[in-house]
Amino acid sequence: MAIPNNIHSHVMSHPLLSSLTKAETSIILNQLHYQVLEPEEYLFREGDSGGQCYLIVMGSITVSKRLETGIDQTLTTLASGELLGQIALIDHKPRSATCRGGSRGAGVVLLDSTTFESLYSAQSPFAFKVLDHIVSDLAKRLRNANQQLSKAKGTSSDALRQSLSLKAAQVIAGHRYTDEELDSIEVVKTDFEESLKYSR
Amino acid sequence: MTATSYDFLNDIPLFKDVPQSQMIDVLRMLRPTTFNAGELIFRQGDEGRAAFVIQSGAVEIFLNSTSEAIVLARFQAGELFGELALIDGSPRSAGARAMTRCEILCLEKREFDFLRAQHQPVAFHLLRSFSDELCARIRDTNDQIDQLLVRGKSDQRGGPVVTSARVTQQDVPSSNLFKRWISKLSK
Repeated sequence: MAIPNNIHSHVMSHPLLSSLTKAETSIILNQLHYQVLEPEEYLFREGDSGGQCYLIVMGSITVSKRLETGIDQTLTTLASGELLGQIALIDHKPRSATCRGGSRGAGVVLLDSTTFESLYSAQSPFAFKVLDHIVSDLAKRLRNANQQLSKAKGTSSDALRQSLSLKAAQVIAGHRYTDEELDSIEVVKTDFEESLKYSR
Repeated sequence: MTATSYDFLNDIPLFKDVPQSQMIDVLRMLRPTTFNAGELIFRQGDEGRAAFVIQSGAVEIFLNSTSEAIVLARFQAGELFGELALIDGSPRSAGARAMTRCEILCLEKREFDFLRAQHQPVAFHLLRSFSDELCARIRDTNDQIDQLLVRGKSDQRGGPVVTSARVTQQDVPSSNLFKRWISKLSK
């Protein structure tokens, strides 16, 4: 549905939208859709085809991944203001995680890839900001996830490997760890280097 | 820069979305350099001042180790490396060395940041290319995480994390993947 009038100003206060001109604002508002999710209601599931990204404007979204054991592993809960699903917006590939409404449900603004492509072609300032935000955000996630993955591959402890892999998955899902938290597990260097020798 | 190098730009994936009319802006950001075989392009921990496009020659990305350098990736003509530091300004997470004599185009961070801050169309196109590259790399990293996470206990020792061949400077080190990747490269 269209974005309800009573939350227009709330939506437009988001950093991705706040500095747009009036004319741009009205163009954008007409092209974005709004979706309300009940607690636990699916936004999308892992493996679904995806061509939209979502801006959370109310409540929260829980991101999870199905493990082989059949258990849904929660990776993170994204709060109001966060963008999610941006990878599929760019590459149109299946969703790598499942997203559901959080404990109080959620309100999300939806940007589909057709709209994004047309805004991109028109060189809309909004599309530029979204793209710039996505690139910076993904670069950071990639860097942090790879750092954890590297440690996970460097340890001979199964428990540690699981914990570091989970941390990497959480980082990719958008969980915001502090640098301190990311550095908290230090894999013994000799162990890591030993593992590298096996790979050669 | 010569007309020849301008033509070369059209064949580089990073510039695929850039219209001909904006190539002049691309040229402004580029500084052609040459490295001799064995020469260091950047060190692990260096401030990232540029991304690099290989015009000719081959480059290897390596991690320092107490005993020997661990090669994470190799790149050849037309390929891009070192773009993470260009995007977020973070220090180099690995070193880069010319394996042969290389002609390399440096995409200067200072120039890119200027065009990016001004929302210039050329920066728009480059961000688009970077987003494609990053998404591919994140999918690849995700696959590696899934192998460790979804399957539960890993049945083998790890090694350097390796990215797909189209990918660039790698932050981290993996074993089977590494071998598979190297064999893919040598085909």
